[in-house]
Amino acid sequence: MTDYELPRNTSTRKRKRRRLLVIGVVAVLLAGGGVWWAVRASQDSAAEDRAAAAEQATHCAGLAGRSGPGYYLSRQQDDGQCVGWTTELDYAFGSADAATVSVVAKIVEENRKVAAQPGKPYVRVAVLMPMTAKPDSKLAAGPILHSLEGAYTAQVYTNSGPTEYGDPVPQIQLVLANVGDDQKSWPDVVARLGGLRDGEHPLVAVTGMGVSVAQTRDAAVELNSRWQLPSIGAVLTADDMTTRGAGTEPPGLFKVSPSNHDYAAALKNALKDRQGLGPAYLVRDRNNDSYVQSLGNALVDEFAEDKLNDHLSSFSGSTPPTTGSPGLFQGAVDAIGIENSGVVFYAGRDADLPSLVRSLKNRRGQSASKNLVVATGVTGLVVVDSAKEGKLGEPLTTQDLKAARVTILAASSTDPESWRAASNKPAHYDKFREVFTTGRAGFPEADLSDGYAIMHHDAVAAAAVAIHAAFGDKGGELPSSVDVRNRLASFRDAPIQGAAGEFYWTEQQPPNDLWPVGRPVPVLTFPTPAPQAVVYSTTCQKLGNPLSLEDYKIVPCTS
Amino acid sequence: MSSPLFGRAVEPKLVRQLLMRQPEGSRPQPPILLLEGGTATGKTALLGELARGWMGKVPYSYLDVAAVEEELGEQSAPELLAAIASQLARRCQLYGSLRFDRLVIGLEAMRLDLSDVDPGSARTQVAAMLNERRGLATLKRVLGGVAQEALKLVPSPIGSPAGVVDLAVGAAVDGLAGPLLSGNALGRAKSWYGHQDRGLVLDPIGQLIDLNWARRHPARADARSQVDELLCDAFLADLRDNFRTGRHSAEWPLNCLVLLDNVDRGLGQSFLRQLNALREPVDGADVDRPSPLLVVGGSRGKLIAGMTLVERATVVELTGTRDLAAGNGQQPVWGRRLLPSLSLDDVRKMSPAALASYRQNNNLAGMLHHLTGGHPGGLAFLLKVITDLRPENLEPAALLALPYRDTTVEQTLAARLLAGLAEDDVELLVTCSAGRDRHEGLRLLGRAVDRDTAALVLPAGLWDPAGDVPVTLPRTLLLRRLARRPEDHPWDWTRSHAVSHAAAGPAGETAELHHRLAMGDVRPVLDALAAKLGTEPLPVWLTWIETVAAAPARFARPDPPAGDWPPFLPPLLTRLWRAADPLLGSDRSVLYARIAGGFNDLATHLDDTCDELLDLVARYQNLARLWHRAVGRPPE
Repeated sequence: MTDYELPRNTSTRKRKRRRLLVIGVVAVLLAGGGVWWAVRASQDSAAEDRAAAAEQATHCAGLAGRSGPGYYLSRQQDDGQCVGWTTELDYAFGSADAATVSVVAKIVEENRKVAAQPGKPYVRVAVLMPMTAKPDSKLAAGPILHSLEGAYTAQVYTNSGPTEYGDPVPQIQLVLANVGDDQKSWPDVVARLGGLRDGEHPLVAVTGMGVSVAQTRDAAVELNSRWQLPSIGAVLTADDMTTRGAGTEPPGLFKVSPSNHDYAAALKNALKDRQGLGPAYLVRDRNNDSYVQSLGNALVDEFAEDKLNDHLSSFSGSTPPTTGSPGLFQGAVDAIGIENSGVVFYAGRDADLPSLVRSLKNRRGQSASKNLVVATGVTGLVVVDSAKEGKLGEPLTTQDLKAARVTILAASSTDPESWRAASNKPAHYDKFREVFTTGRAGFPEADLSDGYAIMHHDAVAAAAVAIHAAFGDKGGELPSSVDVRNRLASFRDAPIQGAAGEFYWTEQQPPNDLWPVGRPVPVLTFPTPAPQAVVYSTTCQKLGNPLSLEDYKIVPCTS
Repeated sequence: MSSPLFGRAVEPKLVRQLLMRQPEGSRPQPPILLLEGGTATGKTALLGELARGWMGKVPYSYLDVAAVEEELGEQSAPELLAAIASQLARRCQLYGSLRFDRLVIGLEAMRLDLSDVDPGSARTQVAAMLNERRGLATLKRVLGGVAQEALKLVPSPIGSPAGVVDLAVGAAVDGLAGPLLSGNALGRAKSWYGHQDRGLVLDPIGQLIDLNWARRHPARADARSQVDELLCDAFLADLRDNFRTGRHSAEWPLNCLVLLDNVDRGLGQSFLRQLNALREPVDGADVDRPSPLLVVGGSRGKLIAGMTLVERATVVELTGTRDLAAGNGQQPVWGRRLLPSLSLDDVRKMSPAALASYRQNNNLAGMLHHLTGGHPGGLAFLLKVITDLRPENLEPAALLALPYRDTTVEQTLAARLLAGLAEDDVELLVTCSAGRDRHEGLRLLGRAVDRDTAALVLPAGLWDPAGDVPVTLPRTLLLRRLARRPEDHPWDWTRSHAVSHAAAGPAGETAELHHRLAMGDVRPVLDALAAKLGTEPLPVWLTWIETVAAAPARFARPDPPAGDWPPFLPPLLTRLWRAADPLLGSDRSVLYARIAGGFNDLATHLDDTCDELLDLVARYQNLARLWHRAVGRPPE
């Protein structure tokens, strides 16, 4: 408020309405008209005022309206988030992060360039995810930025082809779609995306899809059943992230990331020679969150001989919806000491892992003196190489691990640190890295470390491959979303060259959950990297009961 | 478009806070706010800024009392009131048009040609006038007619806040609303002359005839004040009535604003005093009498200086908005806001282009700030000189000596900063400039002229205890004149300081040493400081040396003398003395570094330290870093 503003509690609008009413009455009296007409007119006007005010309240900051050429964005009444989609409006959904604003601008610029090329057909692919973050969001600001960078890298690469993803026709516009930091705005956003399915430049696929929560699956079901839009999850790993069993077949939620069961299987592969490490123990998040529940169940299932259900502690994860006081690991730490555990399986969100490790520093009992293995599954774990221990809220450091006498084994979707130097890296990784860090993208290499850029790249790349293949199938006619969906499941013989490795989906009957097949699952070791003799590769599998994690059982796709 | 104001962030906040309309009974009415400062300290610019800021948002008026007085004379309170009311009656955002029925009735009654010899006819004429229905348009026309001359003198920021269409709509609404809605208002206005909100039982027509008579016979005792008082009372009653019965008046968040420049003039002083007297609570009053009016006046200090001690007790010093909340629950009648000098940052912002054209612009800004003490008018003038003349040598003495029009920069600057003062008064001020503070200045003035009139001539802003530099720009210029006085002048440099020195008395030892140093007696000052060293607490001694070294010098400061003092003391004193010289230009970096070293040596000498000493060392080290070497290189 400036020094010359009238106090805010002035009911100016009310006064304006009153003034309008008075002027209306006077005008009607002068004209000899009836009072009834005047009152009605003023009431209509007041209603219009109210409607205009209500409409104004739904405009995102700085925008004159909710929709316009190349965007539909609305301000949420409850929390003020700006949700919706944009293709050609340079608007970063109110993000205050300069890098995110910059990458959104780049995507919009590419979209405008695509639209401005006469005679070149183009289609649209959405990147649906939270575009802004709060401190306790499941998807933090860093991963959001990196996700957009990965998607943009795939867009500019495929549009500048020909590449291994096909000819650069049709070109691809990315539709950036924000479902809010808690993903609760998905119904409205999905409905708006559905409206883009038809038209001259149809929306043919939706990538990203946020994180493994119930809203994600619900959005995928809606996209699949109502709009026949295939969706490709970038970092979804919970085993119940599937549209199978939700009423509309075939299923439509593809994933480029290994499932949690794949993570557990990769860990089992890595720990097959663990004699002498000691008993195993499970620390699991009790929150109602598909990712953590699925990971816990997968570990219990895969390591059945360890009877983890009899050796576990639960904690309340710090990301919403939380069920209690977060970050309380003392009970687990005491139990690990008493049981003299040698391996601790962790089924929780990345955000809570540093607290567990730092708590383990103070463990007592026999296990206090020996090195402890903490095994988990993550999209990409960042451990900062530092001689200092991190503080509350900071990422893990190598010194944290050393001080706690902990080695982390993390089954992961990506391993950018090793891939930068090692020879057994995925075939397409170097090319991806080059495009990502140079040229129009020119992003910092450090942005690759959490794996989000790689996975989002692969999701958009998969869509691009399917689009170009379907375009060829149809003799140069723009494919529909159904064409693209069908094409996505048809790369068994020529797998998609993802930055994180080759993969494909199969569609044999009965339907499966569309997890990638053939995808490598590296197991990362911290603080001292250790070479892995055999890298586990994903196989086709599905959840026995796709509608629930309660009765957790993974079965082969052919079952 | 006016240029931006610098260093005036507090005043608009003060005004806004005082404008806030308080719930009935919680705070009776805002005090009259006096924005006080010497010549060219930005009072008029600030008032203009306030006028522009509130234009169209609250009913406001902006007038230059000096201009009104010069045009219409000191006895022009009715015209001044009419001009204020006419401006307050302009339509604005929430308030619409305020009505001044009582005032207009009074003004119209004054203008009637009534017969002194036929009371019956006079009553008939007044009754006929009262029976006329007055719409808003009529009220405004009458006010405008009476205020015609005064309104011509309205300062430039006052323009019509509305466009042509708004004016047309306003006129139409006024014309329509007047006859429809003015009946009750007029009735209340007529009857007001009978009770005047004081529970009186008078004949309204008789009151108006008396008013007419008093206006036509100004030479009769009290006639003038009777007219002024009744009209002013009517004006305040109109305001109260508007805020009580006006349409949507419950929603009006702010009081009215009246901005008056140059209130030190006789017309301004009498008007404000009368306004205050009439705003006093009255026993038996018919209505709650708080006036929804904030008056802000620009003053050079004469108004408050002329107050009695009892009146001064009703003045509250406003250093910030928090001062409004402080106090013992009694509502101050006057609020005094001394306009502060500009900070170094403000100087940098004032004319970045002029400063940037010199390579060492940081030094230039610092030098100008040190020379002017942040005096807004002085700074603006010197920046203009630099921009216009682009001199090669920017050392303060050279800058002041530059030819400017038919004279020098120094003389032009002095003429601007002391404008409005008679030459005799300026000569008195030259003598007073030897005083360390206003108290010593008044004492010198008392010695030089009649003691009783001393306070009336000493303008505000000659000393600034809260300023960043020891000597203000007006005082620097006066001191230079004092230094140039011949030794046979009755109040030459030595005598002026000697009188202050002698008057300091036993309790004022630092003052005595200060004036000794000003007279060039370095050795006895060093003796005294050395004697106090180790016997006085260190923080006290540090205050001493700083106070003493702030002394002005008639000639160039001498080098430290040789003697039997602690070795660090003579150079420290003479360097501090040099640093206090507003005309010392760019050669400051080394000087400040050595002063910091001198204070370090002091700590070593005493084998002692304290927070104050550490702060001093840090301050001078910081200054040494900030102050670059050369200044005054030619523009690039």
